Amino acid sequence: MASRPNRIRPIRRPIMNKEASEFEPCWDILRGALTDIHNKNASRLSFENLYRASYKIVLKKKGELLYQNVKSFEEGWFRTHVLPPISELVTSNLVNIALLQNAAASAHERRQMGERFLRGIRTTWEDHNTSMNMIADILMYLERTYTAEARQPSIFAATIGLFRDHILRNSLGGASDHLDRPFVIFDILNAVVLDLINMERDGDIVDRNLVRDATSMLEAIYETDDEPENAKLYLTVFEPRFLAASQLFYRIECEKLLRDADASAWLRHAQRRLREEQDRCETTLSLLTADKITKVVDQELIVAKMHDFLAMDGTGLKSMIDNDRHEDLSILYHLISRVDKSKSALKASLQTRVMDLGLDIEQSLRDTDFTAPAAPADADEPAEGADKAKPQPLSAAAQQTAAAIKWVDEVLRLKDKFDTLSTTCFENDLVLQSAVTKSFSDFINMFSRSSEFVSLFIDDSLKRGLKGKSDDDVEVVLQKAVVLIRYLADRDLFERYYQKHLARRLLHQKSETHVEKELVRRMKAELGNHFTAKFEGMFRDMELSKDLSENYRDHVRNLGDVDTKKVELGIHVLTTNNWPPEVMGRGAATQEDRGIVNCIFPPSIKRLQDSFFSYYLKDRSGRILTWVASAGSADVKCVFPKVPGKETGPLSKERRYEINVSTYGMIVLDLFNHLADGESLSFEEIQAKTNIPTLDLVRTLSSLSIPPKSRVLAKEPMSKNVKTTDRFAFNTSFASKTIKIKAPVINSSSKVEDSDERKQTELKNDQTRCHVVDAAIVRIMKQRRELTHTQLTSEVINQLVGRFNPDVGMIKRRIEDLLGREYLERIEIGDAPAYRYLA
Amino acid sequence: MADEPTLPTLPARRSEPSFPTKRLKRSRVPDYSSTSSDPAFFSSDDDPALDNYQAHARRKKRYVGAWFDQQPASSDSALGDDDTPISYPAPRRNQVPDHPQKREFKRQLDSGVWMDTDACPTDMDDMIDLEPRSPRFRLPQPAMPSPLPAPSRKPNSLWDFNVQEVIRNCVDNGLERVDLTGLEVERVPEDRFELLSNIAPIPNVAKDVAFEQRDPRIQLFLSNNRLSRLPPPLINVEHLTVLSLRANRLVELPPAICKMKNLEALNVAQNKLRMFPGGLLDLLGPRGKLRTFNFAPNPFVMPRRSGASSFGADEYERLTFGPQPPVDAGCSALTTKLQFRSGVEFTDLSRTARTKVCFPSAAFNTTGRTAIGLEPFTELAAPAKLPTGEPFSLPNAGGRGRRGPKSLFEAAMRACVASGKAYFVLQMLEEDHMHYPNYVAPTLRQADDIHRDGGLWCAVCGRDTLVPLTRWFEFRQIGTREAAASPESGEEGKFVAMGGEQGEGMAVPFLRSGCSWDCVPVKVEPEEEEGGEECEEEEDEKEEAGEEVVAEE
Amino acid sequence: MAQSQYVTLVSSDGYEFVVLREAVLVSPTMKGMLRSQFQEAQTGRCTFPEISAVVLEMVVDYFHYWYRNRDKEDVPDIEIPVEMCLELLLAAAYFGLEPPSRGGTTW
Repeated sequence: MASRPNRIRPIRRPIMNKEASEFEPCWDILRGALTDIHNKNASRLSFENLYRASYKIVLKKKGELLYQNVKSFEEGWFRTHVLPPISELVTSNLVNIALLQNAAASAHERRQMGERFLRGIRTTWEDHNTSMNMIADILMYLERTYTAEARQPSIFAATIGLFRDHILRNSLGGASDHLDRPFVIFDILNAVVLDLINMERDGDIVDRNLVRDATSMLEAIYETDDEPENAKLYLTVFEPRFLAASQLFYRIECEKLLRDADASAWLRHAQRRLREEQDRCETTLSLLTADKITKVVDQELIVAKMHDFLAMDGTGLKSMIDNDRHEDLSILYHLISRVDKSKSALKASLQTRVMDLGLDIEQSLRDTDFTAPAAPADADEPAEGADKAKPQPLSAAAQQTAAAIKWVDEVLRLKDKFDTLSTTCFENDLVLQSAVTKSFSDFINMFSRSSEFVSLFIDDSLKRGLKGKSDDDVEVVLQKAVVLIRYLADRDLFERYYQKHLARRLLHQKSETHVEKELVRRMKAELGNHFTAKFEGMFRDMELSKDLSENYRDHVRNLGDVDTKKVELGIHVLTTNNWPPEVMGRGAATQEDRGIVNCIFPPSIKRLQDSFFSYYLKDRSGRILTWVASAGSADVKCVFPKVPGKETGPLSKERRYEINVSTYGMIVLDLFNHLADGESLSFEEIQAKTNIPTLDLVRTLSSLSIPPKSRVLAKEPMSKNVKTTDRFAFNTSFASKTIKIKAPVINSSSKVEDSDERKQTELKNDQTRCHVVDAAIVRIMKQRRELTHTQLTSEVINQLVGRFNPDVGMIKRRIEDLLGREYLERIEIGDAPAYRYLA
Repeated sequence: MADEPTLPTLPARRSEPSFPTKRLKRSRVPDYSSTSSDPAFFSSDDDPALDNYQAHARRKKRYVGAWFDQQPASSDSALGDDDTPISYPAPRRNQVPDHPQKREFKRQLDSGVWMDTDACPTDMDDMIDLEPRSPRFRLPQPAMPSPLPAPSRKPNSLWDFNVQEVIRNCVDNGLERVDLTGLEVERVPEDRFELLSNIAPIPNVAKDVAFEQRDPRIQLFLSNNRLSRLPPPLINVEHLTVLSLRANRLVELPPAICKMKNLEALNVAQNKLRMFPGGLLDLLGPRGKLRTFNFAPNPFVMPRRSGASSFGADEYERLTFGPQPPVDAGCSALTTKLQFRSGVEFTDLSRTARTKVCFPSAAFNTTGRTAIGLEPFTELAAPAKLPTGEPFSLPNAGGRGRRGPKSLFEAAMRACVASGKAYFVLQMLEEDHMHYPNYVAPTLRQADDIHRDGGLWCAVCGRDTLVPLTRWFEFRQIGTREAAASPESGEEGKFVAMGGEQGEGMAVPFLRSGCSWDCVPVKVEPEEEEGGEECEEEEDEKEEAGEEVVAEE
Repeated sequence: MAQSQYVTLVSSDGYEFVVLREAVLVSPTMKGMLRSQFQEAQTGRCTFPEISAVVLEMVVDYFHYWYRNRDKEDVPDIEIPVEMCLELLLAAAYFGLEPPSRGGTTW
């Protein structure tokens, strides 16, 4: 570049009349053009020519003059060309209708007139807008330099503002004489648009485009010429009026709906209105308003009277839930979600409904009779009375089991119902789900026997019917079980029942181990390790015992001691802590207020026991085995000789049966081996010889002497009950169609406890709880050394809440107790009573 | 000994006999001049390397070190001896010197005490903007040179002569320390300083010593003069490592200071600086070598609200300026920590601000301290519309890297300025102003200034520009970063603000410029959940951010 | 009416330049000229009675230069002959090719 002769070229001005670049000639050109533009004759104009004219004026530093000239030209144009036709549109009729809400005019008439007015405004606006755009284009250089430097509103904004000042804010001189208040054209415009919108809401068809054009116009005009974004006339004037009018409209509409008293219709109506308003904002008004107007609808149509609608008889929330009106509920959910994030109204109603329905289940249990008129589902009713009232009672136990199952089924059905609601209507809303869950938990725990019933239900499901069922069915049962357990608050009580029931199932091999294990595994996942520790111990015992039995059998075989009276032994070695005390024989013992009594086994069995014991101790010295006869069973081979005098029929020949009886049954039957034909034994005699507890003996003898299928003993007198005064003899005329007979084991059937038993259980449970609370207190104090009473209580509750809801009174008592035993001492921290741990 | 650091002693050690006083120094100068073979003018043979061939006859050869503190060179000094200038270690702060001769005073580069004992009798002198002392050389005040002075090599005044003398002496003798302190320099013909680039250390050519060429480490002391601007040629003195401009009349530093990559110590205390150019941040950032920086006192503009929230500062830096190279935690180089940002001023060609935010020019002369309204990092006020009526929308985060070519206007302006003919064009414009838009001349003048000051780079996209259109202030603390607790964690070490004389952690204003309305700070997304109180506070700030700058006092 | 892809720019001394319409639109002035109902918009022919061919050629060069580089980063500067820089400053003002607008700095 340096090589060039780079003398800067001055601007070579075109050779033309110097005057041509003076202000006046340039302005003359422009003024002519403005007129042409307004008259839509722009196509013959040269943009360049006009642009250059304005450009030169600005270079001559005459920008301000140009600016003012254009402005006054436009003002003049408005006065002479624009305003007159608009004034003509504003007839007094229109004013009456628009501003005085003249009811005399029909909707059709109002619409016609309003639309004609809007069309006039629209035409004027569009013409003005187009012209102003073109003028702004040719004055572009002015805009770019002068207006910016002088901090003036752009010429475009200034001329658009003229429309506002000369049209919208024009009061039309004396046109408002007959009104008591002054008005401007803008008022009429607003009134007409709002009237049209209300007509559309009422179902009329209006010219949406026309309304849209009017509102777009208002969006393009600002309060002031510097055009701040939030000062559009649409926002400052029209929108507030629109919202106020809408509020009024919907308030009236809502009251009308309330009078119709149909919540379902209300829901659908509100939904439709919301959609309409959204749609209106998109097509007719402005999206700027969408949120605000839907808020108005939310408030006026939904929130204002929501509780009234929800409480309506027959169509309200109660009926929606009860009748599974999913669509209604679904709409309701959406509407409520709009107005209230926490959905408290819906939540509260759902909770009340769950509680009510849950309590209904309990109530219906009380009212239902399970084949007996007074099924003792209710603890208050004496079970004994029920027994006697019915000649052919399904045993009380069975009735109660049925009640438990019914209860569980009902609860599960209720749960299903609300689950369905949650998925189909409430979009699995977490707030609602947890509220419903809490209500379930509440009413289940208000029912005092829920723990027992749940355990019974599981027991029943596992004992019956799982065999041969598909994995899916099993899965359903397992899931139900876990769902229910999850609701239970007093898990220790449930644990106790479940332990008892599980023990019976395991010992009598009533269920399938893999299903049991699966269930326990799920409980573990749900409730934690400590909850299932005992159950797992039980399974372990069962497995070890199986091995043990087999090893012992091998051991005996290897001894070569071929006993003619060989007795096969299958043994279960149960760890004391894992198994419920009832099973271990201690429960019964304490109940009868006696020490542990061992029954007297027959010598043949005794030998076997000794042999096994010595075998057992070979590997495990120092252990003690207690034989629990109440929990065992035996297969006894019985030979029934030919009954003399019977030549035909089954009695005519010798019969061999294999009877499965309880261990006690075996002991009892063994006694009859040593009796001569025709001899009999009294109840007392039997008890004396066997030392079996009375209750167990009654059960044992009942199973052997009452049911026809296993009546190997003949009872004297023949009755349905075993009394301590009865006598028993070998039933020589026993016959059965099958070789293998199972004597029903009366005490192995699960049943609901009667009230005494239940009190027992609760008492025991409370004792256990006491220990748990003690342990928790000591654990906490050991760690913290000193703690105030309140802190200690809350820590204890925190620790235990996973197992049961500790009673504050109990905690207090346990603290007292520990104070007495000098684990703790009383101190004060500040003013608060506190404790210190004594090591 | 030889590697006497560039730094003066602290006042407390001022009387230490091993440090020569000024008087001693002065007496040495003629010595050198007399041994120099050069006449008053530089010639091509002033290359110090040439002198080495007659070295045995020359005194200086037997000395190493700055002229004021020479030591006889030890014979093996070039090999492995720490004390030779060759292996001169960069001064490191907070480190005990590993050889006894090295002084540990590094901060007050140019405290004035040593250079100028009689002028600065107290320790406090840096605190006080002293009136210049009576000049040592009584000089006729030269008329201000024209904006485009004709290059001249002739000294046009006595003080100019002195300047030339000193510089030439340094160039002749390979002295890296150039002392122009207190010469009443007001406006030295700028090309005088171009000569500084010629300084090269004289390599040790003693027997048995390996020849080693090293970059010079030029130290320039211009304190106690009357400079009102940094002489532009200094920008191009590549090996300038120490620059003292203490106690001058600087009102601004050129943005092109970012070119002085080798600067390790800079003293601009006691000037009339209102702000620093954004370009200085390049020297203070991870890439810069600046270790010592004296900047107070100066009448800096202040943030209007010292309690404003600096929430989002890091995010803002990352989004606006792109990923920054990690700061070497624990390294001794200085770094900065962003505190606040002002609103952004959007201007058009006529320098008319299109937003409410409007800054005073750098040289505005109000007497009091000026406060600048702040804008939270979560806000960004933008101009509503472009002059063409098209709405303006701010670029999104990541809008960095401006796309598209420069405007024809700027291209023409650049051609004009680059040709060096801007002055004539301006004259033409003035003669015929009725035919030109009135903003052309001022814009061209500004462009010319920018060009002569070494250029201006857009803070956001990094392009060079002559027509900056956006400006905003960033208030930053200057300090160092401590070593991070665990280097692997990627966390930055704790920032330790420099305790300037004006107190801990003073936030210093840096003026940022953008080359287009696109090149603006990025708005940081506000945190989702903020406490109600904070929200309220933000609104307060919003109101204030819109206000114009008002001078306090 | 299908618009031609090109427009014709005519200098004061009668030289005609045919330029891609899209490239020309970088100038707000040209945009205004071509978008409304004025004569130029209909004919696609824009006459500049006060701009000489020398200057208009540079402007057209700039239109093309801008169009080629409009989306690129790190665009090299267009070369401007020094002696024309004053005229081009004015032309830039006339065509609105100044910052801050589309022809000035992109946004």
